[in-house]
Amino acid sequence: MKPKLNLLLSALLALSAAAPFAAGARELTEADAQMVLDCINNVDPAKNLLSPAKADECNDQFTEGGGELMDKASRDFPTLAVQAVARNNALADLRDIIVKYDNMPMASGLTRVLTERKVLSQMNLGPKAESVTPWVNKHLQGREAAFKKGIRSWDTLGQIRTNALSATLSEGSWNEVIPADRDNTKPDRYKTLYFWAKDKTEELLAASAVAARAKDAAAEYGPLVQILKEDLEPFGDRARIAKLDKFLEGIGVAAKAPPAGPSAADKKGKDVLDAANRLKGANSGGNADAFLARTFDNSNAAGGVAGKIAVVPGGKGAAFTPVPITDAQAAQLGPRMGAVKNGKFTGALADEMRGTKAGDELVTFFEDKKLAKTGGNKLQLKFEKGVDGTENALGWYSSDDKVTRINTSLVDNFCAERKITPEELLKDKKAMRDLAAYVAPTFVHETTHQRQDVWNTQRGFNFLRWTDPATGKVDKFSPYQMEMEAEAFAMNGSFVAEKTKKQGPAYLQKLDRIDRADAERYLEDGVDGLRKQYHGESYTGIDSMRGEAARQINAAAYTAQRVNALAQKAQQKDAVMTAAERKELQEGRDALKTRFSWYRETLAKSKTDELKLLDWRDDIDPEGKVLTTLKTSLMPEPGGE
Amino acid sequence: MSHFFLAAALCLAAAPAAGGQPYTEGEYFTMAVPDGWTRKEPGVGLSDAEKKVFGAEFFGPAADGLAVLLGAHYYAPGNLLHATPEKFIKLHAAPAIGVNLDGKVYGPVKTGKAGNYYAKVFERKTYEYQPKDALHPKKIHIFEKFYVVPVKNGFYVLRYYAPMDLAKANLKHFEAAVASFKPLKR
Repeated sequence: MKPKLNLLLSALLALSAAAPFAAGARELTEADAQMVLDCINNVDPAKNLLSPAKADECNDQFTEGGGELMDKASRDFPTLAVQAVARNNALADLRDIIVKYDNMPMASGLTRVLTERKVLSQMNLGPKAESVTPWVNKHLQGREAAFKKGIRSWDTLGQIRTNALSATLSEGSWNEVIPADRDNTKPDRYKTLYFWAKDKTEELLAASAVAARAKDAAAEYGPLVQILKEDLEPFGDRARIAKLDKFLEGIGVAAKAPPAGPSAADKKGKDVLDAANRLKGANSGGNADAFLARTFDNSNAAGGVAGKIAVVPGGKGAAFTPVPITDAQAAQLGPRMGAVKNGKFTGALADEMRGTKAGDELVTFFEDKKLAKTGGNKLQLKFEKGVDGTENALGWYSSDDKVTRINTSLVDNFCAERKITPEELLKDKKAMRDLAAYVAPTFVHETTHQRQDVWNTQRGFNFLRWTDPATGKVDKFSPYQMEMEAEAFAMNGSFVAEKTKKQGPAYLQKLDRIDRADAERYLEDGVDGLRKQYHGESYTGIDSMRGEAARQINAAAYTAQRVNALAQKAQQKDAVMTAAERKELQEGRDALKTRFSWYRETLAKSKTDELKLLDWRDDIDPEGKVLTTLKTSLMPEPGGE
Repeated sequence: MSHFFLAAALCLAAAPAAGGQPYTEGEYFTMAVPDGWTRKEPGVGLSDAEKKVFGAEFFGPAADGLAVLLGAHYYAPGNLLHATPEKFIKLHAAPAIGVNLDGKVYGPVKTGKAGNYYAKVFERKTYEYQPKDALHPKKIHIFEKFYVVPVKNGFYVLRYYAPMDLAKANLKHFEAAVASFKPLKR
């Protein structure tokens, strides 16, 4: 005897049966309905399942076979479909952030998904970071300690820090502070600890001579210094860390990496901090530090000092002083490097790119006459100085003005290394060709983004809007997620790998080491080799495909409710729909269809791109003659140099 | 009687290494994963079945924003990444781009064992640049060790990846996992 279906399962089947028939639509079977129900239950906060493993199953099943089941669900019961797809993707994304990242990168990712996106909070996960702790304990065994340390929870700070902070903060007020602020507009835990560590470091260094003479200086100051280094590290404050290392050497402690967590020595924290405070003098005066009120000081969290060019020895022993390129000179570079004239891609970059699979694909993109009528493939190449968010970038494509920009810092570096001025560069054809070789991988990368922009626009996936507050102009743009970077890096990796095959090692010497590294990864491990790099600090500010899917599908929740309500009204026997309601219903269905299509087709594109790039990789043979002459070196012991 | 002794010998040979959590990857392999290391779920793009590469990666402790990784994968015949174990070795035990311009260090390829199975073993020292595609990224030294286990149909790769600061301390966990490894597709 067939078991009695539960009410909701029956309801799903009934909804599906009653829904307007779509030509070729898949019929919802009982098994389908059960699967959908299981996925809805998984993300129902009342049921408290929230399993990331189940979320993975749901995400795969919804998109299997071209996403038929998801299409059916989004048409027949849009509200439930939005919940099931958005929330299961959000759970998988949350799991990935906590598993793949540590410390500040984890905290930044959590800020993005817990406080800025609105999906996880529907399942009582967030916005406060500590609210996720029970979920981590239940579903991510082995990551509990890393999670708490990542969000800098009060109980992971250790006594040195809590004693220092307790003048202005308690555990309760600490829990109100977000772990890491992505916009640099609000106080956060990492910045708070950084400012304390910065000030404490300066105090310590100012009194270092006295400290070094202390009877048991290593025991007194060693643990404190390790904590200070740990808090300076996320902001790349290498100068202070180096000074602290020197201080440690002075008191006979070998410098080492910041501890992974509060050490046993931290239990002596109060005594240690008191010792440090004694150095400050009995009457320190000064303000009680208002940590939470401090504005961050624009330290380059990305590490390194951008824009500084060292003086290098000149060819005849005279020092060569690099000359930065002017705006007027940079304006000449764009058209000379690359332009489309009479439908043909010309310039040094065009010459550099032709003859490779990646390059030829992009040349074809620029020369596509049909596309030219839409303006989507218009080449607007500019060399500009990166500022603020782009200061440290090699290049960037902007979908609002459709301009590809390459950072003039690359040109300055290029000229400095060759000991030429920009004026000499512009007059030297060989140097210009070499510059094209140097920037071509970046140009391939950014043009891939332009092509993605066109792909999205052609399909109507530029459904996001941004209104310029100054001009009122409304820009349309598409969701941005990590798979776009996976494709772009694989394209520049493939490009360089193929150029190397054709031109040999001399070509590689013209490039930046990053471009060589990408090519190597692509050859070693395909597209996955480039995806896997993302478990570091880089790109934690960008949503994964799962995270972006959660966000964009969830953004259609209200539309789904309206479609649901209007569709039910339309099916009522004596209901009279107004013209406005019929229009709203159709537009709502179209909007939902677009969002779900974006999700489904973007996932499919990711597979198609990867297949193509792996196919190209098979054709590129790195086993050239050079390998037979290479000697392999003896491997040093790990940790040794 | 000979069957008894053979069975006993096999049982002894298959005894797991001390410590670690037993892990089974479908029909492909078993091994003991270090305590507290977390499995990383695959991302989007081609699925394992589409690539014909099956396995898992586990995250351990982290430094410089990078975690220690232990990977174990089975490359089935006809996989999309590496046609043969020899090709895998050529691309990883020497510069894949054909020349070493950035001071990476590649160790010799030796013979060893993963569990009770013959393996080609090699190490290398490479770099990560963080952030990616930045003008002045931080250079992080990375240590990697590979065990490549050829079998009748396809091959396996056990891979250790660690920021240099953590490499030495965690290598023993990787070696314990390697010692416990048992391929199921042989």
